[in-house]
Amino acid sequence: MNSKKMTVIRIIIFTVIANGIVILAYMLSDIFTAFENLLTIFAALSPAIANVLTRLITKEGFRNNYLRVNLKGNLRYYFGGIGLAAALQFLGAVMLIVFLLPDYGFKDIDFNIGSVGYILLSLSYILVNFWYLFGEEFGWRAYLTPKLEEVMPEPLALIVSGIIWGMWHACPIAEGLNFGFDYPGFPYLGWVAMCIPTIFYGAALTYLTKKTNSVFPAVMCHTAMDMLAVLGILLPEGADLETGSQSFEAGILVFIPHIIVGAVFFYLLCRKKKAAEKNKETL
Amino acid sequence: MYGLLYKELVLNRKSLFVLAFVDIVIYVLFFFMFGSAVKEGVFDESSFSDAADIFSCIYALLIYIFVLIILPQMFSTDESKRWSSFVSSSPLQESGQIFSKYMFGFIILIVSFIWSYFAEVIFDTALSVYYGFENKSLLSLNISSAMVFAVLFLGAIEFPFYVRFGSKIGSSVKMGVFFGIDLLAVIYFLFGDLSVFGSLDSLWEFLSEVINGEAFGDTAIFALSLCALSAFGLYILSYKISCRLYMKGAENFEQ
Repeated sequence: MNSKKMTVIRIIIFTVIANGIVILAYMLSDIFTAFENLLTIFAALSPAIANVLTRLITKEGFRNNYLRVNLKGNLRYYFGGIGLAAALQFLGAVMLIVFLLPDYGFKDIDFNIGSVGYILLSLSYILVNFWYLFGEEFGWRAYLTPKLEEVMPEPLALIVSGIIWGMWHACPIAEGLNFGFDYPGFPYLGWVAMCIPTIFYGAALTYLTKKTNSVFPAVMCHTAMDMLAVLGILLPEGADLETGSQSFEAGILVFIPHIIVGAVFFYLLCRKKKAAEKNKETL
Repeated sequence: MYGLLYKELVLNRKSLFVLAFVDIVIYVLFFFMFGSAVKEGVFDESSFSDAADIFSCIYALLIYIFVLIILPQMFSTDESKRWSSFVSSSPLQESGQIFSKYMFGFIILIVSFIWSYFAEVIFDTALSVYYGFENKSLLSLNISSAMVFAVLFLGAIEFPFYVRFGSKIGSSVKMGVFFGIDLLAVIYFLFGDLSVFGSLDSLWEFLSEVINGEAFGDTAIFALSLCALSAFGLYILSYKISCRLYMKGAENFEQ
């Protein structure tokens, strides 16, 4: 069997396992509520589990696993990833204030020593909680995206990877994650809407992975993104959060910075690939 | 580098095995103790949940106390002049040797955190399935998170002493730190406000507020956040200091 065909098979097996575990976990947690916490953990770690199982099933081995930390000369990507996440979350909070809370201004932001303390505490929690998001990135960035790049052009690989990652969120979105329940076309429109930021944010994470040849900067960036959701405490005190936090509009607004910034990384990755191909032709 | 990490794992496997074994035994014992208490009608749903939380928090503390005991052993295994000469002449040099120690310590901490997370979830699930009482608070994770930073901070202080003076003298630094903490506790018990110890309910209420962060004001939260962030920074600084002290300390090792 030629290697491209084998790679396609591996991509299919990986996708089926990763999404299958999530769907199974959510179905079982509805039936066996006592197991909800345990099943949620397995759902979150499903991309990593899919990576390992796919390699075992297809006898691929564990080379090119992106598990080297590669700190030397790459610290800027580690800290840059955390800074990127902080910037995106901050911009998301700004979008909410500007468009969904018109009765409030920046002067109403609850910025005191306590809220700064919570934000700094969340940053420090990146150190202990990164393993949770390692479960995702070890699948998406360390396996799926490189495999897709072997069988299709880079832009298409990033789009397909983003769509698979976005659709992996289908079950939680059907339970109200990111967009709530009250929008037309629930949950299908939410699934489509989720795929767009995952394509572009995925490009940013792929950029970090490729620059360092390590999955860990992407892990740190993604962990910081989740930990710094606490930036919502900056929303003005007394602001009506019912429309602010769990609504379709809020979900889209928060993701706009992801899309804009991610598009820059998307372009950088595609440009780099084009330059490499041009050099190859010249040689 | 990965070879040195593998070496640490192999040399310390017995301690790690004991740690894992003791953790499992404690959980199994408590599981059956809870079972007996439920059968005898000691708990209702809310007291069961509180008891499970108390146990989980104590368990989280115990894990990290074991880790504190185990971590310095990784220095004693390499206290040999021959080894230090070999490693300093290798491409990794003494910085690689020290980096492997610090990285191994950090990995053990993170693995302990993940272990306590899974152990709490499995324990709560087992209690819910067998005894019918649900407890999904995962309160002990706050303690676990705090203990990771506390152990990082303590390691940052004591590891350079282990590197410079060896494990015998280095361990006295840890004893000194714990003695200091005990002294502070004694002073507090002699002169401080002991109203929270009036009853078990008031004590548990106070502890819950501390674990959930509700007992702290804004300034205390800010100070705690700086301590947490600085713990990792201090750990890295400690690594740099240990690199400089390694060869001086190696002169005191046995052949």
